[in-house]
Amino acid sequence: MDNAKFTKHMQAFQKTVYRIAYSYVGNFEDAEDITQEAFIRLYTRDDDFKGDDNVKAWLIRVTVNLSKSHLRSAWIHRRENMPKSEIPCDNEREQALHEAISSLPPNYRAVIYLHYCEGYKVEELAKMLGTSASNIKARLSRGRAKLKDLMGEPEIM
Amino acid sequence: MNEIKNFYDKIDPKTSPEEMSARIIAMCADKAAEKQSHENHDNHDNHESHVSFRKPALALVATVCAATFTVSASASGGVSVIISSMFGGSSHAYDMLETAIFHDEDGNVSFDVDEVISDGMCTYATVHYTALNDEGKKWLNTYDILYSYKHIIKEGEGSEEIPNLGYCFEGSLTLAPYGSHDDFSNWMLDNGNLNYHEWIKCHYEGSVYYLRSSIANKSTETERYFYVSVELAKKDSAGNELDLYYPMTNDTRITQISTQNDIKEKLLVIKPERDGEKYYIPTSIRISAISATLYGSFTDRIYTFQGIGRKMRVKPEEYTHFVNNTYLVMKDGSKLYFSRYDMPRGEVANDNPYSRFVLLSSRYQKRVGEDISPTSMENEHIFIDPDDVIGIQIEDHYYELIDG
Repeated sequence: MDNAKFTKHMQAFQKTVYRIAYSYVGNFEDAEDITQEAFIRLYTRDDDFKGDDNVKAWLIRVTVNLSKSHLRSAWIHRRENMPKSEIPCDNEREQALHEAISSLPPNYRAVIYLHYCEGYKVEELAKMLGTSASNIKARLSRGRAKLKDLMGEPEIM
Repeated sequence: MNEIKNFYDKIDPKTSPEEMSARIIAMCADKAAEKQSHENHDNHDNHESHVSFRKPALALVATVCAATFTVSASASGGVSVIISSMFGGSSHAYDMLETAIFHDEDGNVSFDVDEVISDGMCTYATVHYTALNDEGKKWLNTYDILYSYKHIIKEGEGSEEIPNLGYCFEGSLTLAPYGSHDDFSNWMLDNGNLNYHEWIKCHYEGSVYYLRSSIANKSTETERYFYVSVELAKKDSAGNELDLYYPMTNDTRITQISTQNDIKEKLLVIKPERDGEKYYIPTSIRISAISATLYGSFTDRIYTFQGIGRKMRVKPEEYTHFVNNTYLVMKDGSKLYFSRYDMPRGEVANDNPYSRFVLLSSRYQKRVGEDISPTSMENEHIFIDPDDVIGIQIEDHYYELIDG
């Protein structure tokens, strides 16, 4: 891939890729590694994309797959305890939200992030993640319910 | 919604986009230059002598693999035994393998299920496609990432598992509990609570197709090998069968794989006791030659959130990861790492499913002092005799097993 185009994609999508990876692995260092790997694949990919949306969707798919591989890899199971990264929180409520989000299963976290922060629709997510729309809906619904439950207050969204 | 967005807005990579971009470009340029240099060097060696070993380490690895697969192929009637190499070539594992399971073709490609090993809870299978004509060859090339990985690994640059290829082609290679694939979503919508169907989906999602270098290395321009696995929280009550969905050039087809087997298995009760302040109690364990499932219960439902120092009532299902560092303790004193996955616990939900946990170990590993290669399946699993297990250790606490 052309260097200038690659840098442009990096500027546009690095945060998204990083946050998806973080959603899965819950650790800054591993998320950084996964981000780098996803972009290496983009850089070394021969095929040209038809638009930025396609690049983003492709990167998200690759990142999800890399993150799942990471969680399933032999290395991760050898670790005594996966170090959790601390996110600076301004107040107790933010801290509670952080802990509540961290306690969700990784695939819930990723879907919640992609839907609520990246604005992807249920159908788009289903296509992108290779699953059914009803499954995405179920993850969102259960994720919301768990967050409410853990936050101890009815309205957080 | 804003709170969630604000939360994620705080999560930024340490490396700036420009810096990471420059690093990757430089890294790839270096690798390309190095590769070119190797190629030039190899060509030079070729001209000088036909008997020199150009890459001794790789040559040795290739020989060992070739020997393994040659022996296996002759022993199993043409089917390469990949799975037994996962178990370090264990003759016990080899004896338990079902081989040459299934064959299908559509004029362009053929599809074969080569090997299956299963204890009913964990099933591993290898399959392969063979191109029968140019159209089939073209279709196989949709698995481009696998093919390119093969070359990367040959260059010695591969350092991790190959991710699943679900995104590479239309239709996916999927091993799922019998009858669950098509209408599962509806079942989920019909059942809001944890239930029999839900765990199928939960786990099915996290346990699909995995490809590793040992599979990639067997692939050629006209063949592609895949490793498929599925792990269940409960034995399939629908008749010990799994559905295998496999894409062909024009459609996706389905076949059933039997998980009936003679693999030795025991169900043992764990001597009831509580470890200090821990809020879980393991109660029983299923141990087979290839996998185990640990069942237990939670003792309370209050958790102190460390950041705010406040006690809150939570559903403990979220905290099974606290049951860390679990081992099987063997008669000879050795310990095998219980490589565990949290399982949905609907099948024990006679009362409150949130009060229980179910942990599955889909493989046993000698963990301490052993280097487990993430790029190869070889020697990754250990085939055991369940009679050799005398106890389990969770964190630092030993639990005695009692025959159920």
